[in-house]
Amino acid sequence: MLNVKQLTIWVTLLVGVTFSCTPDDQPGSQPDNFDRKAMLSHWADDFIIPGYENYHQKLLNLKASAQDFVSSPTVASHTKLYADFTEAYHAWQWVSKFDIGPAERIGLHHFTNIYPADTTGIENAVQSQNYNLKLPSTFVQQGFPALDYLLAGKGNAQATAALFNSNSSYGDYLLNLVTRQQMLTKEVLDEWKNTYRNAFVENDGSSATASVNKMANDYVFHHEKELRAGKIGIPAGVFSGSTLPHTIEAFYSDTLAKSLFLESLEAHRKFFAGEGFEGNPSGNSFKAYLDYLGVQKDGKNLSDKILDQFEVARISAEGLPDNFADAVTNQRQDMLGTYDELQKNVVMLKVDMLQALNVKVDYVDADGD
Amino acid sequence: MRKFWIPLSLGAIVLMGTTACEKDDDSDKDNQNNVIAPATYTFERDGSSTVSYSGQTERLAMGGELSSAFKNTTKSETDLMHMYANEDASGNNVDPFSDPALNASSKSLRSKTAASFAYFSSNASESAAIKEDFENWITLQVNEVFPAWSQAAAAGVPGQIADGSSARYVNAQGLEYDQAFLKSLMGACIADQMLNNYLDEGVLDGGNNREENDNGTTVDGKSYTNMEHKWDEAYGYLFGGAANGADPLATLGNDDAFLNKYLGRVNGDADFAGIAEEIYNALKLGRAAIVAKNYTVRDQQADIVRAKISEMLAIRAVYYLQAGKNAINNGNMGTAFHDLSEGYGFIYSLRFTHNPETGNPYFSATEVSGFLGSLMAGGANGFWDLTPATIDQISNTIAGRFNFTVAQAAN
Repeated sequence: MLNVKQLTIWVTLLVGVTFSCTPDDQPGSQPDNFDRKAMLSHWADDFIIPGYENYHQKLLNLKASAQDFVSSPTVASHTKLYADFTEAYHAWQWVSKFDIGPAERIGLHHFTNIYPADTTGIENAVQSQNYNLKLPSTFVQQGFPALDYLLAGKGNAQATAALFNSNSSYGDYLLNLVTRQQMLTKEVLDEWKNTYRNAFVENDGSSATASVNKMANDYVFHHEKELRAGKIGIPAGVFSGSTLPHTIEAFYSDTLAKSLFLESLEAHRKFFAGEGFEGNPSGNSFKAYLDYLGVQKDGKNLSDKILDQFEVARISAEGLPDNFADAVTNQRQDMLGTYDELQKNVVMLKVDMLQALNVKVDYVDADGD
Repeated sequence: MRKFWIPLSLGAIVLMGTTACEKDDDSDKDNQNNVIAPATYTFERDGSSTVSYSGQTERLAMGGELSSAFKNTTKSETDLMHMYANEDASGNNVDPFSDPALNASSKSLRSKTAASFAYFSSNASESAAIKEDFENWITLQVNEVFPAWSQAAAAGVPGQIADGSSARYVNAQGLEYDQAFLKSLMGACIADQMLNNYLDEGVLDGGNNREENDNGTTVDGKSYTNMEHKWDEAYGYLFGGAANGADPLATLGNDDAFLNKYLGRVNGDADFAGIAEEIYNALKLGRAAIVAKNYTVRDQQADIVRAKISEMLAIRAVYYLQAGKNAINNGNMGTAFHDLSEGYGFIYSLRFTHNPETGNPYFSATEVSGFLGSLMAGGANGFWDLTPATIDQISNTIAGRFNFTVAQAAN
């Protein structure tokens, strides 16, 4: 039998082993001389602000065609409106992950893209014409998921035009949603341009609230929760055991979800690699930072492994059926395969990258109740 | 981090091995007395199962329906009161549940709130005051929060507030009454009945239970002795919602919204891994001890369950307090209020814990009400004014009375 002293020795030994097991090559534990400010400037000037400019322009287009459709609901005006809706939805994928500064403060993401939509709540709001879109309970009654329902969930273009003709409450609600979305985005864009850009770039330290730390968390969070879980894992039933086809993004548009997924994946890849938004200059981003620190994994640059994995995930997703509802129902294994490829990058980004950058994860999995 | 756990679990194995060594004497004695726990919670007499806890299963299900009703603004105060009491104010039968089996049941949550033999059989005044707390939360939910359902909450103003992508419905102080009610009920009803009633010597040995059990005299028309049944009722408050009640650890955490759920959460924290099995094993061995008429072993196992369930409630109280603190620090007030509301109920539950060394709760009613007063920041705006320093102070005091640290509970 072990006595207490022997036990203490044992435990001490084991603890010793434990510590010697932990990687001691964490470069982030010492301050490095990587130019964080240049990285923040690149993010703000070449990616985030142009991304919001583009998204806001698409919302202005959407608003104009919504006004045309509501004043004259026809198949033609619906077609134009729906095209502008899909363009804006794609543009959103480029800025969705920047839940920081003004976007975080006003809850832009929550008011823009929480799905599935609450269609009962939307119908009640339309019929009663009594609603307050600022309330958290209406997150699921506005934004793109609600537009998707109103434009694609009420039948084909002809049926939808007929509905909007016969009941003006739908048009009122649609215009309220689109206008609100555009105004909220304008507020975020203006603040980025006027004041927040400099505050963001100047906050170049390494504390938990520094811009690099917050952005790294936002990026990793979005990759894990939105790209991996929201767009693929939840509908494929990874967390529920059975498939949940109604939870796919843009549920009422047959093939939009896949295209939005690929857009978001590309937005993640480009941001990581340091490419600029649509022709804007390249600069330093996570890849450059990891390379500067010389971070290796399995004998290769971690940054290259992450970029390779983005490509593997893209190829996996390209192979899925264009209609994600079909994919979930008929090719669940393939969808789970895509999920697994995304998960590999979750590990490399959330564990390997954040550890190397000495950034502490600032979110926990919600407790679910 | 992964690498960290492997040696840690090795350490745990060594510790377990040590414990087994130290217990050798005991288990030899147990073996002499033929107390060997079966592989699963399965006990039979003449080929029929002697295990029964349907009343507990029903109460857990009643709690589940009441939980949904707290967020259904079409429900009246009377509807909720009826769900709590399963009778009207005059004691007449009512059918408040959607599940007909629950309407047919003679059981209720209210009659078993602050109603344990050990703590309340001669403490009617406190028992009545505690029941009033629960009724007040119902009244206030319907009369303060339901009317504010479609307005934004602010300091001193009830309404809804965002917690991530969902809405939480809080009173003027930021407290969610449904969380206060349900998490407090976990202590005041579920744990109180389990730890302070059915595992209590006074109940297990009540009446002629000991003599009947010694003689194998079963209850009229049943296959079990009174004492066996009492123990099973304790078991049912933890595992009564499991699809396979004999072997419930496979679905631990998914079988109710009360002790089972949170034991699952705590067991999932590497710092406390194994606590569920420890409790399950104690419940099995204690029940086997009753069959073997070995009341010493029975009471030893009851004490393990009492200490561990109590610890679990305290761990979860600290967990939610710390989660609330982190959310306040990140400016996520809705998230903070939800965590703090859960924490409020877990703290309320501490008064119903049971320290086997003293026979009393780990925290007195006075201490608990002191915590709750501090948590509401002693003012009209409650959680809105709460500081991280106060949260840490309460957390440290709670953890300090157990063998865990705030850091262990918080992750």
